[in-house]
Amino acid sequence: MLTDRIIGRVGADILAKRMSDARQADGSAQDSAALFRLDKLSSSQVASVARAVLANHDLAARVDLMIPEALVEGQGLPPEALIQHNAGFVRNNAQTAKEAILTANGNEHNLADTLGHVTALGAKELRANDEAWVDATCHVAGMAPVPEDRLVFRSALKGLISANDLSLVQLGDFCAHITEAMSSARGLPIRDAIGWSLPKVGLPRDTSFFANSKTYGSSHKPWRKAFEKLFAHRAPLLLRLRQNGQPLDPDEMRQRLADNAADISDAARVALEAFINAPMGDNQPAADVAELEWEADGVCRVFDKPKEKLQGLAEHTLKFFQHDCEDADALDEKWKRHLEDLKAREKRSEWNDDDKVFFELHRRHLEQSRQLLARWEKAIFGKAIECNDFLDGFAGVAHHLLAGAGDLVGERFLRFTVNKGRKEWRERFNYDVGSYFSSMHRGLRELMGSRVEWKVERMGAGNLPDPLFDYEKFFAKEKELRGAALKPVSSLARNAVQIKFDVALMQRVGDREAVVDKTQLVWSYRPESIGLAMV
Amino acid sequence: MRQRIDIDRVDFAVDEHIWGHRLYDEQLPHLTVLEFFGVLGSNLDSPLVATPSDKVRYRPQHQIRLRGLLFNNPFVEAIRERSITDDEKWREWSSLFVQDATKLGDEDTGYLRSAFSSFDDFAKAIELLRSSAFEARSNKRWSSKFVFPFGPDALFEDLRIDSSGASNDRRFFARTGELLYLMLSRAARGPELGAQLSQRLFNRAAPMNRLVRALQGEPQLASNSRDVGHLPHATHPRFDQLCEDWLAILSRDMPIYDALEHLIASAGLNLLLYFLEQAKAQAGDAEPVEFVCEIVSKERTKVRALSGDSYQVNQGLSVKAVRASIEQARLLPEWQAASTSDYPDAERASIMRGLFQWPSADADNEADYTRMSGDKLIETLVDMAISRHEQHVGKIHASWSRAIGLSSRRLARRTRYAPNDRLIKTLVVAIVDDKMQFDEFLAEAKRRYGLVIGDAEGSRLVADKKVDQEVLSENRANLEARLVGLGLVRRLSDSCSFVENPFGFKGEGNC
Repeated sequence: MLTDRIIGRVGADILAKRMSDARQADGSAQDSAALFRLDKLSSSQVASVARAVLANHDLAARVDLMIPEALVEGQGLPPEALIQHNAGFVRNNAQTAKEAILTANGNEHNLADTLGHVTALGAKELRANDEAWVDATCHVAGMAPVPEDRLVFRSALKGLISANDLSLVQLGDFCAHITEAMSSARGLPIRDAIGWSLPKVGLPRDTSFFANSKTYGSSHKPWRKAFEKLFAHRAPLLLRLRQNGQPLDPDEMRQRLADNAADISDAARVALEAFINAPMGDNQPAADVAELEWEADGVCRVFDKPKEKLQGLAEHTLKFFQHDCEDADALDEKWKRHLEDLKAREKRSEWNDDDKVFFELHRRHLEQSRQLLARWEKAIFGKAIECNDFLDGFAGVAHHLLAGAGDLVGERFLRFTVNKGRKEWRERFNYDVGSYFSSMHRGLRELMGSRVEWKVERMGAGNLPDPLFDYEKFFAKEKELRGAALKPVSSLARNAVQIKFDVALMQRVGDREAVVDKTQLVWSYRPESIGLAMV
Repeated sequence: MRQRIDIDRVDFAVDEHIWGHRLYDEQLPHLTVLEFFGVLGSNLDSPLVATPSDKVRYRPQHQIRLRGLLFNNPFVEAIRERSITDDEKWREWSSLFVQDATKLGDEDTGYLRSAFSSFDDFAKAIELLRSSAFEARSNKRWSSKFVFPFGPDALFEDLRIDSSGASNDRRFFARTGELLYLMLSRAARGPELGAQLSQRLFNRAAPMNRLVRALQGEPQLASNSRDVGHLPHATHPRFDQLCEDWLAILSRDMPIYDALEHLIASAGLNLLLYFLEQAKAQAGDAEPVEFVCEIVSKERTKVRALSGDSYQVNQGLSVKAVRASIEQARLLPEWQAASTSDYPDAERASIMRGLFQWPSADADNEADYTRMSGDKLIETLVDMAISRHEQHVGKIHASWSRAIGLSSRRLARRTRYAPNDRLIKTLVVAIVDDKMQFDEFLAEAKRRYGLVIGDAEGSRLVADKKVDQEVLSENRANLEARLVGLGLVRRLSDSCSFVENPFGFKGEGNC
């Protein structure tokens, strides 16, 4: 067993290192023998360590093996390495001519306190030593990789070990498989060999995953991050779980399997079908799927949502006007050309005033697609300023706009525009939140006077009270018009408790008004803060 | 396994033949035990004694007055605090209460005045009973809230009460308690348990029971008695284990009201095991049920992942069982024989009907099924049965294991087995007579309930190379530390520790 031999070699290496650490500063041995024990390893692992110690002449000369026979029955260790007693006996009768004694313990009753005084070499200790694993793997498999590859191997192991708790056997298996992949039969380079061996640690095989030699080099951090990501994203899929622990829907997987049939190899399809249809807790199909290539065999297609290709904003907008817009003629030739032109500019993040004009003119149409609108808003306004306390947000937004405004010419004022439609105010906005905003901030309108202009757009022709600062009256009026069927909204959905303002800093010279700068302010009510009943 | 009987009022019977009619996810263990007490209360002349005819009948109490006063009576506090005379308080309260009364025997509140010397006493009594009620603060309908079972007068069944009267809609009392009664009456020591329970819990003279009775007055019974559900097994090791656990808990030196918490948790655990064991047996899996438990500690360990896996495997068992139980029809000799008959499809449809009460003989859509081949019938029924199974029965594992504190999502995204302190305490009370070595305790918990905590119990996991022995051994040490914190373990020298049952001491002599 290659795996056990690797583990044994690791154990022996660590023991040797510990012994040299235990020497006095001048290099001489201590007066009494040092005591070590293999802590709770399986019998084959204990035996492998013992064999590795015996095989190393230098180490064998310095260490006296006293392995309790009961722990390694049937492993074929030479009798001189065995004792009839348990590790507690060794501790109390530690007599040897050699420098150190190595014994072992399982989970024998009531020995823990006694053995607490004997240095333990357990799974944790063995796992922590990445260098020893690389050494042991190369030695056992008879490989001699170039120093760079060794370094890569070592940092990969270090990353893997810190990303997940693996059992020794899994780690040993993983190392053994890497050597198999690198052997002349397969001849994979080190990074590919690591990707090829992933099934041994419970991840689907992806040979080329680590192919980027710049990212995956001698530093263990990118490795750790990559492994963490793999364990978070791909490992649950093999258990047929989403990342959040909810089960995957077999019908969806079946659908995707059918949709992507062209990209999935035949062998993979059979395995994937078995995997999808297997009852919960049947692990063999998952193991079979893990052995397939994630990308090349198309395994990922069964799990991934079809990725929407991230198209440019101009492209997206053109498509929208061509196919999805309700008003087919909304986009005239001039603006079409403008968008074509934008395709190149947006790659350079170059925006001009015409874009803003375009947005203003076509905003009503863009609103049909929430996603597109959000992209445009982000492009035009940058990141919106968010607040829970409107005064705070007001001050913030005023400061933000003024700070970049340059010298004062003529007269300046702020324009707050709300684009919530009448229907939205009425049917999709929380009644209590609306009343709260009105009663809390209606003074602001008086206070700011002509310095701030408040515009509530899309209110239709009816001469309605202002929903922003007089929500209760607005709603009462609506109720009067629509009858008793209209109920106040109590939803706490995000849209129902927030008001989005387009804030523009305007400059007026004579009769001409010009926009100096624009941004967005989003006020939202925190439903978990003080009660609305006080309004 | 008993002979298949026909189950009333179901479209088809699959789950019913595996587990009985019926286990229900929303009937959490405490509701199960309350329903069980209702059955027991009607059979006090021969409690938990299996009858030769196998028929158990009972007539549950309704206690409309009592539950109305406790859970449909928001006025008491407000009126109590007003500074008016006692007479006026009574009058005001009565008029308010009667407005909301169900008119099912609760119109007259006069008897309360003679039972309580002052309105204040009355209000305090209500407060006391409310504070000890189950789920008093939940938003369940008031007719699904229950007073603590202080005695025979405090038991009543779940009802729907509306303008058309009180009806039993089996929302929370869905016969799982009836099955619990059948299980315990089929256990070897059932009658012994029945005698103890009836003697200790059905004591009409107990002070708290008398208080309840003062509020309720004469008991109100359901209009007629009814049969209990169907349980397919004449005997089952799990029934005996459940009975033994209850007897053990009752033998501890603690008041019966304190013991109830442990009885409920133990019933929940054993019912959950019954559910999973039956599923495994049906699917032909001979391995015992295992719960790999993570003992939550500061560090994240490999055991968490294993415990999550173990949860997932168990969650999948019942669907497997449903599928297997239907597909096993193919293996019947009759099924084979049908292929040589003149009308194999009709023959097979009738075999299916005999097994699963489906396709029904007189349904309107009969035409659809007669044309189906036998395999198609099986496939159709599997789909139907699994989709029905997933609505309720399939959720039993998740909801019960959470209810008894066995599973949780604490500190993790996935649900896994991570027993809480209450469950651990119940385990100690049920398993340990007086004191027991820690390792023996773990072995016993594995033997009885399949709980895998330490390295000795998890040797299969180590052998499967899923985990190093060291990790499980740390898990074991975490449990030991938890038990020390709960005052349930005493450590002696050389890491020899004893689990002690604080209610187990029977005198000074054996310390």
